[in-house]
Amino acid sequence: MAEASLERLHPLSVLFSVASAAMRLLLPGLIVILFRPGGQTDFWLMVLFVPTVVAGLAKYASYRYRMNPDELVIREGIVTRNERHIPYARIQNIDLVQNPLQRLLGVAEVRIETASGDKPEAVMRVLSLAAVEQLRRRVFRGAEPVEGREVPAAGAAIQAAEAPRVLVRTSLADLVLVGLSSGRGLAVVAAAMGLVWQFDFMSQIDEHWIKSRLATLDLPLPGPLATVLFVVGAGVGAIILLSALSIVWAVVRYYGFTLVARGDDLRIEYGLLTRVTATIPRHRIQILSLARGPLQRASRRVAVRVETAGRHEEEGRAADRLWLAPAIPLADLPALLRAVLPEVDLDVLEWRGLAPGATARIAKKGLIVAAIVTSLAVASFGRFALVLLPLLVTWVVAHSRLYVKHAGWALGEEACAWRSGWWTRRTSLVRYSKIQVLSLAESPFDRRRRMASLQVDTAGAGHVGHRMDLRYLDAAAAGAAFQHLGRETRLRAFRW
Amino acid sequence: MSESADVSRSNGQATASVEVAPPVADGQARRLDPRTIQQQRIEGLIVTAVLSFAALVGALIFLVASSGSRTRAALVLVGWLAATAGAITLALVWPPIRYRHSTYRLDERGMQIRSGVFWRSIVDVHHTRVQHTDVQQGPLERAFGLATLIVHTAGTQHAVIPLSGLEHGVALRIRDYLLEDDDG
Repeated sequence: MAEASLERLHPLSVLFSVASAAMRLLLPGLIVILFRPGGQTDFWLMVLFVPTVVAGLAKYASYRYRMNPDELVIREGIVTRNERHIPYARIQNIDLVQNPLQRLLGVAEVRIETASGDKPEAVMRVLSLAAVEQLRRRVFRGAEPVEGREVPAAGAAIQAAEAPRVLVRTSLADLVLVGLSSGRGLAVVAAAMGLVWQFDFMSQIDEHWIKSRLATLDLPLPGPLATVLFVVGAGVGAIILLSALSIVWAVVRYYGFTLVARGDDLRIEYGLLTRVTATIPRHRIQILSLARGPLQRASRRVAVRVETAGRHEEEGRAADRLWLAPAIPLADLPALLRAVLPEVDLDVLEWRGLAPGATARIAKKGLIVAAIVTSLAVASFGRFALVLLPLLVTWVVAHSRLYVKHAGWALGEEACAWRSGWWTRRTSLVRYSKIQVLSLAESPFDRRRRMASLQVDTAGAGHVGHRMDLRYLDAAAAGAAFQHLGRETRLRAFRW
Repeated sequence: MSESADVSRSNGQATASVEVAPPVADGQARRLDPRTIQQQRIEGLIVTAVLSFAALVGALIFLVASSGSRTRAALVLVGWLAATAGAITLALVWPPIRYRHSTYRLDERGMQIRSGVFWRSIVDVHHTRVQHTDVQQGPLERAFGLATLIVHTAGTQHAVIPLSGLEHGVALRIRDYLLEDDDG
């Protein structure tokens, strides 16, 4: 205890905490400038910003941290003193975020995440890179006894502990794919559309507007054809623009994505402007998921992500940060899996499907929805809306067949796996040691068809993740799997 | 508290394994305390009373505001009476049915809870996956000497697993059992 000294944040912290507070005050500040309450703009701006600056200074002045042999102690506050003790063994991961200015100045914002709560346990804004490295070494080396490691592979693991190994280095072409399949451009356009609506530009776009645009182009084409061409051209243009935006987003965000294994730790780094470095101890992976959309299938690539207990979904942001690889060639997948989860072998799993009646049940559900939608459409738009029915029925039948065809589950030696989805196909793995709660459920409809559903609950199975919720299983098989999983879970102690 | 008496009562069929430690974890499927039926009936009636009163007030406001005819008023009133009668019947009939479909089982490895009449489920938590537990008693539960055991896990959908309708002493002993020699 005596050797551990109290440390301050980096002096530049003042700058960044004031800057981040100023960002938060941007909106109220703008309101003050625009509406001038009482004509005293300066006064109100002072009221807003002076406390912020003082708070930033006070935080820096009062913030101290100490690295004890087995815990991190953070002390802050002037009026209310708060001392927080975070045992290293409870820290799930340490993330570094550096915006361009922070990179220039050689400092970083550190987020320390434990399994509790909805937000990072502690945010240290900002530390020098040397201090970060010291902290990281302390947390992940000091607290992990080597013999406690879950990987039994003897010599290889110890050697790997010494030399960092690059597992994934994402190329620019891969990032283009990530961008195209992310649909981020759509979000940008949706935001832009919202703005456009706000200012009522849309009301000007009608036939006359299109015709007047066409007149300026002066095309040597007859009127109606030109209109069609114009509309189609605009659509194609919009798609190209969307794709370009998505690609730019992916490249800026994930530029230079690398995954490096060093002993038990996986270190992920990416970002063109804001650089993010995340460290995940391998044994803290709760779920590993593979996803392949149509684009990935066509280019024989796959996205690999993990869920850990400490990851919190803040506005879908953290969801991106779970990636082990946003896109890697399918051929490189076995090597990556061997490095990340050596105890699991996807290739030897015996996949099992859903119960024989599953297609019929899914289709029946869909048909009921189709009937309701069609009758509502007929009621409100007239009889010609009946056209919907064959379309919907075709879709329901195709969907239920494809869904059942691509759904499956498997119980392996050390882990269970499941897959679902036919458009974006996902496969996920959970090690038995990470299973928290098992449940077996039967609805009245299940009972009639001798089916059951099986749920495997783990830490960190978020709302956006691929949860292990297997429905339409054969009742006997589900019951046997429930017992089997119970036994396997009991044999293994849970460690975060 | 007299432990063996509690166990035999909550068990329904007094087993000989009561004296063997740990007393609650004998791998037997156990029913909840039968007093939970009465307690849930009262709870159901209270909820029914509050809801039907609210519905009555709403209906009266609607009738006054729409200044409808006498027949309409009569229809609304009859509808309210029927709904209230239905809710009271359900509040009285449902608890024993639910009771028959709810069991729990403890053994040296963990706890299994079976519940649900139409939508049935079994939830299985292992001993080492229990993070912490609460024993809660509402006012009505206190009057009946009952308690709700809440098991917290590190899971996501099943982060909280409640088991209500236990005799208070049994709930305390299950809690102690689930937490003992837990090195986590």
